[in-house]
Amino acid sequence: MQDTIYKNLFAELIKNKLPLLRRVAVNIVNSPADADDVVQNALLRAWDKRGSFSGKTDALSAWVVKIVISESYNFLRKKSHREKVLQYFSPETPEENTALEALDAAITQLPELYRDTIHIALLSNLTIEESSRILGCSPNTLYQRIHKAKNMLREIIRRNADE
Amino acid sequence: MNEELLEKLLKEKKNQVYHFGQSEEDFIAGFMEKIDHRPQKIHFWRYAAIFAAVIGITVLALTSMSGKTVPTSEITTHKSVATNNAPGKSFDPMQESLRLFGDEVAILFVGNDLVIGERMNTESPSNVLNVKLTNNIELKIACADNDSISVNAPGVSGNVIVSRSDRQTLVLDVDLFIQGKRINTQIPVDNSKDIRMHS
Repeated sequence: MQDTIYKNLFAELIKNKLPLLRRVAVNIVNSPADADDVVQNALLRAWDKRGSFSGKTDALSAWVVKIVISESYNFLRKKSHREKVLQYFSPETPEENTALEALDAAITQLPELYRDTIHIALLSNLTIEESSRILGCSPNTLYQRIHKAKNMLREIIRRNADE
Repeated sequence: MNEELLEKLLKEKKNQVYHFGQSEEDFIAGFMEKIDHRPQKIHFWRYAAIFAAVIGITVLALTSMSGKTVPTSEITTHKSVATNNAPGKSFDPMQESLRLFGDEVAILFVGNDLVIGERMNTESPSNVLNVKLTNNIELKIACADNDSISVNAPGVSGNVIVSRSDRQTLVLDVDLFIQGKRINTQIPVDNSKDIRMHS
């Protein structure tokens, strides 16, 4: 496929899916500006691998959503490294964790499969059918995964609070 | 935590409102501008990787043929290389690659193969780390104390994030695909005995 066709495909993807991609990213990085950077980087990663892509828009968007999640967590890891270095030079008392921060921390600790399930199926305003298409499983399997992911989240939050 | 509270938290997170500065059109325009400049960069790195691999293989072949360490001056006529590697001093492919490619490029050796990538840190790499990823795969990497390295070369792709844990220990967070095999692991490395480079 020629680059012009790919460009049209990516432009169409961004037009249709940008709100979803931004939502997924901002739920993880908690900043709209950072989320836009993350989505750009994820799209560029997808662009670099465009040769291995078959050409179906649905498959492309599912693929990009997963890249956005992995890129968002990469961003958070880099950010935490930077903050660790800055804190070394000017140590400050960390702010008290809110319940939402505790939830974010717990989601980060989930295995990748369940982390993706939470972000795509629970936090992105998608239907179960849309989510299951992106995650590549049946709606029934997705319901089971959601149930398990929530149990794991509760357990992690409880454990983190005890520590 | 009970089920009700978790549902409430998830709902609260889902309903958080964010305002994005860029419009959809601006975002698409920005992305298109970036990809228009993208291919040249990829081709440059591809050619640089092939060039570096050819040099590395030639050097290794010559070294193994002679059965001893060959001073650089014997295997190349490049004047600047010869002056930096005095006769009798052993040839270090990592040091030589660092000298050739500079600080801005990430340099890794997967086994004997040179791989180059991108570094997010602008500091000079002050550590050269040797780690065994599997029984068959060894990774040698030049990095700063806190570094983020990404590689997208034929056969090797992914990221390595380096963070200093204490004065003696660095932690490598490796997420690489090597010849189709994913290696995702965290490795603490004691680098107190490593050669510190002063470039």
